[in-house]
Amino acid sequence: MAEFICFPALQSKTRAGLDAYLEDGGYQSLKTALDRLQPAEVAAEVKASGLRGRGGAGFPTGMKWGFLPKQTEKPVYLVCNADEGEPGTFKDRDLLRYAPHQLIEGMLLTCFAIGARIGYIYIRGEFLEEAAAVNRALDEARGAGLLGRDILGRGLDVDLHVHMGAGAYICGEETALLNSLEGRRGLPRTKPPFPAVVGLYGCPTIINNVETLAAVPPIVGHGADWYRALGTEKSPGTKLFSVSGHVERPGVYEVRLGTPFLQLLEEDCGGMKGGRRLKVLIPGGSSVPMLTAAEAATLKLDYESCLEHGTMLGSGAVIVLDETVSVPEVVRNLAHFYAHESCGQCTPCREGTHWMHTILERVLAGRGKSGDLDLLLDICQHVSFRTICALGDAATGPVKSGISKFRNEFEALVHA
Amino acid sequence: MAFTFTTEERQEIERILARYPEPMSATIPLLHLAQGRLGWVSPEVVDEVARVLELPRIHVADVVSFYTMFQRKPVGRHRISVCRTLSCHVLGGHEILEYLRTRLQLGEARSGTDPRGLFTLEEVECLAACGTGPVLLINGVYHEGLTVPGLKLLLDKLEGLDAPLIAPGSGGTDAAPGGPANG
Repeated sequence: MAEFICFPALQSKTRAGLDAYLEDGGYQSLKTALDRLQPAEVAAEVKASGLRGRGGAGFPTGMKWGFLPKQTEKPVYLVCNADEGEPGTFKDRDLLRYAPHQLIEGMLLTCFAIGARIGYIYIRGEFLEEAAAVNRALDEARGAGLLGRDILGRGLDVDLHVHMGAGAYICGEETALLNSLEGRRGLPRTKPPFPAVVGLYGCPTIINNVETLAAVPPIVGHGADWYRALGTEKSPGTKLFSVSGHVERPGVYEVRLGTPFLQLLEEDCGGMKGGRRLKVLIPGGSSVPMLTAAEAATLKLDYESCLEHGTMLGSGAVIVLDETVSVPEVVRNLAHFYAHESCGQCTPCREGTHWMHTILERVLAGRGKSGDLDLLLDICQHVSFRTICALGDAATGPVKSGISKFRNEFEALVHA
Repeated sequence: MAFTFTTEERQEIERILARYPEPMSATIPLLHLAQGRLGWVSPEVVDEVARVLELPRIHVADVVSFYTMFQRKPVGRHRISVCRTLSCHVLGGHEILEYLRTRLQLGEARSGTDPRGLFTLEEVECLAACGTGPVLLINGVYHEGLTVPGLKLLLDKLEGLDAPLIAPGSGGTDAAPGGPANG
């Protein structure tokens, strides 16, 4: 059954306040770190834990922090990416609402580790209630001497601010987020230079997802070995999975990495809705290739098993679709999403996402031409890895996997 | 119509500016502030934000055009934003949209404002509440796990249709027509 190990506040969903967090041992990791550890030791613990970025890319967090310049005259910034928007993903929303102090403690530990004195929490513009919860927690923390100058009387100066987005999926891409935070359109930047070297206001900047930062207090508190043992050798720790679609009990579940998908589906989520059969599994958010029921049967929820199955763990957004869905309809729905959310900066993505959607519209309307499926796959070839950011490639995931695994459904529409 | 920030808003702007080393970072927060009062971002709002932040007007106009939450036309009294993305869609989101289009008499249009100017419907992409779909926002407030009958009740309430008939001279009613949805 569902258990919450690293994120206990998601169990009760009622203990977002400071008193409850302190009762449950909150801010102990911060106290321990400030009393006994050097910043480099905190960073080393996170690196040793094997924690990987939980926003979707899965990049090792400790290594990312290690890209900061060793010496710099400029301020170092920490930015929390709370621009949750990958279709199927809603775990960060729960962390913001129910575990804001755990996020704050994680950001304080991270600021201590990387030498940052200012952190921004970039929250998607629609999350008004979530932002209010974080702001309440920030006020509580300030009032308790946990934020601001000389935190806990131990000489650490950090302030954190909420910054609201305004509706743009692309701002979840970290360099687009930086542009947005600077007050510009959210266009991704060319890399290198990476944000760790040239980031916010041209200064060294670390950008981490909400869940990544919220995992830091349990890692520092219990140690890297404890955390590693929760998962597999190559995918250490736990991860939050957002389960949506045709299951009896959708929701956010904390899963030990390496757990079989069917266990999550049957034991935590109560199985398929109405006892119908699984048809399509999208295991890591709309950007990752979809799996058939047969493929899903052998999938384990970790980075390696997803790769072996030709897909990705992504943000842990598990979209479960039953036999009532039409795969071309699913692919069209997602093609609309990417066409709408392409920032328009790179021609292959701007044009490619538009044409993929347009062609799928005509196929679904029964006006498809015999070459349309190959044309769609051809467009994918011209979009993937020819753009500044990963949105274009992400847009090809559902199209390529949908057509290759369920081609007969598309053929039936084209030849109807 | 001219738009200027009020004295209270100017104080809020000072608090916003204090968070950032560069005033340009306040562009989106100030646009939210203005839209929060006016309901949309008029050309005069763009003028005022540019003036207050000492930025070129085109910079502010450019930002407004990029982000979907900024309305560039006046909207009805209640703004309804319905998620159209996959998880909501397969859980009945398209039925919610069809119901709204019919109720608002939008004809062939996918989005827009009803003839009385009461409701503005827009389709939006994933609202990150996929586990409780279908999801929509009414005036920025999340409503989750919606059904068509549930939505009908909600809109009836907003229209004041569920309010008891009031005898002339008997005073008001608690069911204020056009009041905010459950906050």
